Amino acid sequence: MRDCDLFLGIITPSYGSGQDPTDDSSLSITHQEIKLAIELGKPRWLLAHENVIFARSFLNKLSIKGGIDFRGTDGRANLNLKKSPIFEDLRVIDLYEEAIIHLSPPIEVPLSERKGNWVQKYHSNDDGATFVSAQFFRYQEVEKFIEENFKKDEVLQNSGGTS
Amino acid sequence: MNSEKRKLKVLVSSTVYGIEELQTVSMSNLLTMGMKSGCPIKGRFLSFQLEAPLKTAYKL
Repeated sequence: MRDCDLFLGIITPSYGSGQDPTDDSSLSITHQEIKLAIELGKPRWLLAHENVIFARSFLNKLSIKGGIDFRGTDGRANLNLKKSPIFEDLRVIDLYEEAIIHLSPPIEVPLSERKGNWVQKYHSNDDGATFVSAQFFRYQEVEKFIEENFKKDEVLQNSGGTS
Repeated sequence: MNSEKRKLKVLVSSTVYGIEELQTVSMSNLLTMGMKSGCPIKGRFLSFQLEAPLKTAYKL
């Protein structure tokens, strides 16, 4: 990660591998990498499957009568999800929220101040391919873009940089 | 094209498991080809060093 010039991350309803089997709270490798990409301010292009975005929106609107809701990491902590190919782990939504810089207090960043927070929704592999092809096919332009925008100590961290 | 100028290093990370290696391909086509063949999206976790001529992908 530290050596790369740019980062392409793909968030799907699967959570990824590489977790410590003895630690339920350990993060998948991809989750760690996306966090690190943000932390390091790497120029990044992120895609998220629409099911992830739908699940987040659905849970954000859901609550138990009289109280508990399921917004944010803390809200979703009230839920148990049986692991399945349809949706493997609710932390996929945590990952998505980190990617869009939609963080919970006390580190919340107002929408108007978020930068580098675009995550492209995709429906199918072809849909994702269209985005990636459009973004990267002319890689010389990508290289120039990075050179012009990210070589001056300007980074895309949670609250800084440009996209 | 002068391949020596192509030194962008791209890290591709996906939450879905798939193939673990890529053949050496031209950088300009890598991501497009990868997507069409299901590499990045279906491919759990590919780390590419995109240099031309492209070196074989490595896995972290």
